[in-house]
Amino acid sequence: MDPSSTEREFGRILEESLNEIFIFDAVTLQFLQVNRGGRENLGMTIQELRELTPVDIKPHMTRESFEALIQPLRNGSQETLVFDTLHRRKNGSDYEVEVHLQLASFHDLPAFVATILDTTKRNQVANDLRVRNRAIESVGVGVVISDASQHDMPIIYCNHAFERITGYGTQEVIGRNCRFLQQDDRDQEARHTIRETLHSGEECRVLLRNYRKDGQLFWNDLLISPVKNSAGVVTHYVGLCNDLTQRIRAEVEKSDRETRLQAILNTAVEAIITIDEWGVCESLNPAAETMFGYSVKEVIGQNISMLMPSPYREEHDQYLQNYLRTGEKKIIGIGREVVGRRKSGEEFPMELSVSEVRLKETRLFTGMVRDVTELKHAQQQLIQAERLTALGEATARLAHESRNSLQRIQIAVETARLHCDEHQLLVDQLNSIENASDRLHALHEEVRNYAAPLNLEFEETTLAKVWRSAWSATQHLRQGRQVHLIEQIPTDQIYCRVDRFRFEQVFRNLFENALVACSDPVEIAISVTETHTPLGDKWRLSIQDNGVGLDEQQRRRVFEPFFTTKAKGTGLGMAIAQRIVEAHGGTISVGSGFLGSGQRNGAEFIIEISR
Amino acid sequence: MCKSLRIAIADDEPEVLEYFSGVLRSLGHQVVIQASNGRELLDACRTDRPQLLITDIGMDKIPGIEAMRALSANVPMPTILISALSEGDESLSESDAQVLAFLSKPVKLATFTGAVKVAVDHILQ
Ligand SMILES: Cc1cc2nc3c(=O)[nH]c(=O)nc-3n(C[C@H](O)[C@H](O)[C@H](O)COP(=O)(O)O)c2cc1C
Repeated sequence: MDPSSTEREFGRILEESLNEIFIFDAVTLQFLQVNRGGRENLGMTIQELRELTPVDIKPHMTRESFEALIQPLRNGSQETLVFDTLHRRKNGSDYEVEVHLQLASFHDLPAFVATILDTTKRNQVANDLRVRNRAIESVGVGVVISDASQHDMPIIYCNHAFERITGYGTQEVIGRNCRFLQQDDRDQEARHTIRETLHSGEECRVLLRNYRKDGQLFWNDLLISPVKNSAGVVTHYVGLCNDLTQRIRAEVEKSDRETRLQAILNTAVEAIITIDEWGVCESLNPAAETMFGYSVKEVIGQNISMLMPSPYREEHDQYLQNYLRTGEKKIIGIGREVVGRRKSGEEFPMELSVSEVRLKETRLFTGMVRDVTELKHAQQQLIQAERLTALGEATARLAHESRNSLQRIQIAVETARLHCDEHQLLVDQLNSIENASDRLHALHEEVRNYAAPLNLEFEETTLAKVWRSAWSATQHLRQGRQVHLIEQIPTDQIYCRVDRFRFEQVFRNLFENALVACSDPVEIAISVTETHTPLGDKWRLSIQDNGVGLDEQQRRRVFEPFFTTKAKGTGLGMAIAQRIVEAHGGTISVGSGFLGSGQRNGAEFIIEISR
Repeated sequence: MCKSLRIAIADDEPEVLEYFSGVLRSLGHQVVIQASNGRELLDACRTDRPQLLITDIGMDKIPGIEAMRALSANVPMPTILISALSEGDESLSESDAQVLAFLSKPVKLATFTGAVKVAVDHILQ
């Protein structure tokens, strides 16, 4: 073959080579020849390139740095030079290249021949891998890869998160099967799910109880997926581990909190009601149901104004809209006393505090309601009690002051008696004055007795003795009447520590009242039973008569001082009795007045006192 | 009369004072001192010590009970106390052994004469 044709042939091969081949003048560095690969990648014609040098297409290089680079080729200390750099296309984009450079001759002139490999693609793959690796390392999810081709699928890789979640370092897990994370807790349904999916080469997601290196339990939300090669054979499995412990705990806590909140709502004494912006009731707790007498069903979805009496009922919508428009608060965050209306129509004083809850789109209003009927009642009683105290003190003083007057009456009566010479009319009048004065004295004593502090002198005695002695003291009231005291007692030995004198007064008051209230034949029944309460053993005494009994008002008010149904009397008898029993740590109350047979009998009083 | 005593009586109510003095005289006793408060009582007793003292427990200036205690400082002065307070007995102490009776107002004639009789027996025994 003729050498030129060989040369031509060779030139053609160079021209067609997939590599880019650049030949440039060894002195001027101007391009002499660039093959098609080079021209096309750079996007330039040979004419354009002949005006340029390699430095012009290398954005990171200067003439000096390039000269320094190729110096070893020029002085022959090196035959080839390989380096990585960037080439810039005509359109301004860059690509990574690996340059192989040699000094040769071109048409008998010294020239450099550069063979260029576009490494963009190659680097991209490596880059991608690096990026992916870094991504896998930095994700919060634990990643573990096991080799499906080896026996028992040993771990060949785990990421940082996996180390963090399990507490094991990479070196400790490589080569082991993942099951070691289960430790002895092997009885888990999920294990079988995993085995099945591993068998069928599919993906699965399970929740496992796993244990950290320090032995602490964690809930592992595990996703296992197979990696297949081009032939469809599974070569690896990738496991993604999520530690759910926190979330599960948080969920338990949340449901705990919700349960607790619900419990609070359910047991709250306050009625708690929520309404929306339109005043429509969204929820109410059991206390609210009881307080208003409506069931949840009757109220939810209804306007809250149904729980208010007029005129609030009519005004409420207006008020709410006004607030939403102007922000002017009348109740919210303040709390005040308003009037509520029960289903029965009964109106009652209530303390209402409203708070506003802003949600994303709407707002809710939560109302806490306390029924203050009792409180008001108690307040009134307190005022009453205070008035009574003052009155009591005044009365005691009055009683004291009257003694001197009573003394003068006494003296006058007795002096007059000395001078009336058995004049019968005068004697009668004087006796009458003395009786009235005695009666006044007795009344004053009773009041003073009530107002004075009780100083008890306890002694062990049997209650039967005490009431029998009281019974004897009522002798004068029973004279000429048909009266029976019926004792229904388990034993005479009703031992108790009491102030005999004071307790006798209790029985005397009860007996006197019964004798006044009942018409003959009178039966007063005392029955005693033992009771056992968590607070100790007690005697329960029932004192019952066969009169007309107590009406509603009497039952309610019989222990109030100055409450009396008798024409005579201070109205202090029962109040004093209560005071004495309570000073003994006992209670006295009005009984039902029903006999065992269910037949209505007279008044019944129940005394309970510790044994 | 061997059963006659020299008696001092004190009460801030003139009517009461007069009445009880009259009763005492009619019982044959000598009312040597009539005082309407404790100070008067003490002053009078300094010159003429009675055999029996009947006094209201209260009274202004010096209360009767204190006058009684002053008079009993060296030799016990037999005394009948009269009070308009019923819990007055609580103000008595153990050392008030000279108190022979404690009467609370309104005192009836029979009660009064009874108490005086007991005192007479006690003093003259
Ligand atoms: C990629 C991969 C990751 C796994 N990760 C866990 C893991 O984190 N915790 C665990 O208890 N089991 C894990 N397993 C499951 C166990 O390795 C094992 O397959 C499972 O316990 C059932 O097999 P056995 O019954 O022989 O133990 C993983 C399995 C594979 C293939």
